[in-house]
Amino acid sequence: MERPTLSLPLLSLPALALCAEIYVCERCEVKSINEAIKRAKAGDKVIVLGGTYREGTINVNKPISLIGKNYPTLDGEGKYEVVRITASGVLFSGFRVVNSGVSELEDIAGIKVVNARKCVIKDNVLKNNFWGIYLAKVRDCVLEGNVLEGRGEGSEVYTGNGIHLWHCSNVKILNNTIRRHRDGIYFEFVKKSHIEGNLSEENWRYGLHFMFSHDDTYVRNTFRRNGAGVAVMYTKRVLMKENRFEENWGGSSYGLLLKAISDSTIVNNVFYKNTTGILMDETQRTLIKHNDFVSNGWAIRVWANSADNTITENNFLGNTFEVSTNSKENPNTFVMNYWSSYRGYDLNRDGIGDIPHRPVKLFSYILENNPEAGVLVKSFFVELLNRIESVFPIVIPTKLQDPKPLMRRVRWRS
Amino acid sequence: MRALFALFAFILLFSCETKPTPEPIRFGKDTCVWCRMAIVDAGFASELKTKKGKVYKFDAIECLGAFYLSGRVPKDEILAMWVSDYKQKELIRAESAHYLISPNIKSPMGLGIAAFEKEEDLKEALRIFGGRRTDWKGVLEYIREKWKDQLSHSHS
Repeated sequence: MERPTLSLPLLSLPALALCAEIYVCERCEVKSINEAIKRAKAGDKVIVLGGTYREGTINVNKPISLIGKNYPTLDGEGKYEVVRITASGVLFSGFRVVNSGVSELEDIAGIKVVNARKCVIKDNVLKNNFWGIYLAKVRDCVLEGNVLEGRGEGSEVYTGNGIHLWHCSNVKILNNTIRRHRDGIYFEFVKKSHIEGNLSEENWRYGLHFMFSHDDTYVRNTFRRNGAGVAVMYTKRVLMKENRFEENWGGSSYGLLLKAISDSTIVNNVFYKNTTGILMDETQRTLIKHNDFVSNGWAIRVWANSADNTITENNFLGNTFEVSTNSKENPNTFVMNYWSSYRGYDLNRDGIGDIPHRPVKLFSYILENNPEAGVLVKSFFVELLNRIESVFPIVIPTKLQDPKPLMRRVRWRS
Repeated sequence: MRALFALFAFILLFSCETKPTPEPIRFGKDTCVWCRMAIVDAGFASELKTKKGKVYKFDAIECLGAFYLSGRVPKDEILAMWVSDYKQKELIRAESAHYLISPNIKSPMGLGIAAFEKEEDLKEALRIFGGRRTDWKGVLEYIREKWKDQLSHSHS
């Protein structure tokens, strides 16, 4: 369309003959969306003009485009699944989808796609739905630019996930905003999918949650003030890049929780003001490089069941505790990081501190093994312990140290 | 006769007082002892209480089952176990519940186990999800089989 050429009319003629546009509005010939879908043939466009439509469930069961103009509202009246897509090649764009039903037994969604391929769900606004956009057994779909808001305070038990994928592969989730759902984005058995540019905040549990989902990437997302941060669990080979994990406060809250994960890469992320920046539990062969850990309670907590991970060229800036562990052994490599609490010197001026940095404070070790000791944080007793430790490092309970601490911040940001 | 009645009343009273009650689960705040996830789904949350009064909470029936099978709390120290009634969203005793195992039940750890107190609720769910019904023993067998690896190495 951008560059009209002589061949264009010839090419588009058969298309015009085959693809019809069906308009739906209050004064149109077709007043119901379901009626328009019934009339439509594969490849047709159903164009819905502004207004509110209460039709129970909109059943999209053939490969057509549904396009809303001026954000027509599809209202589930608290009873129905609002949109159900069961055909491949469907485009669904420009709608307000509100008030799905709620059920003790079933996962009712604003938009549910089942057993389909190549769908595009774009630029919709979803409000007050039980589950938001729900993909089950779906491949090659794109979810882009949607805004989802859950059911809000007091209805937590009946708040499902914002964007929920179950048994899917090759799905792209781009530039969506998700608020006040259970998990902002949830992946269960999802492979080779890509999450980029989303904002997930104030969700009740996790901003993003992986379960049994391998070979996925998430890039340039912001996860802010979620109940427990982001969780990547029982998963292999995930690339986590250029994300922001912010302000996940609370007793059992994390920027990023890694549980039973391996062979993954965590680069160029910022962890800012979380109770724990990263918690590593059963984490293997994962690279943590070029990240900033700023003003967290703990920057990294690493459990002894995690091994062969490399933590290098990160900046640790003003965290209450830098690293904490529950073991005397250290089967992970910490090397060439910048630690703002490092008090060493660099006589040969090679940019690397001449004495190793020990980021595990005695008290954080005690705390890791005795959570009850938390009441002592910032007490005189703890201050004394840490002083003794800095004078007589012999009492440091773990082999964990950075043998080559950097004297200057790593400039990984371009 | 009166003595017998008194004794009976005493036993009744005694048994009432020691009837185990679960500690309420604080959804969104409590985390699962087994898998570390925050507990949010009242359809699956579970709990184990020891005779000494220590409480372990779980986000899924499979996590309670795995914890039980791991022997981290010896069996003779367990006071009681509860699972959530999937329909009523209340804690019920694990041993006497009816169970449904179905790939279409989205339990938090993916094994698809749901519990019901009432037979008719289970039947309703069976119509929706399909799957097979079983009892607590069957659930444990199923978890033992499905999570062989998890139960053999981690979590000693």
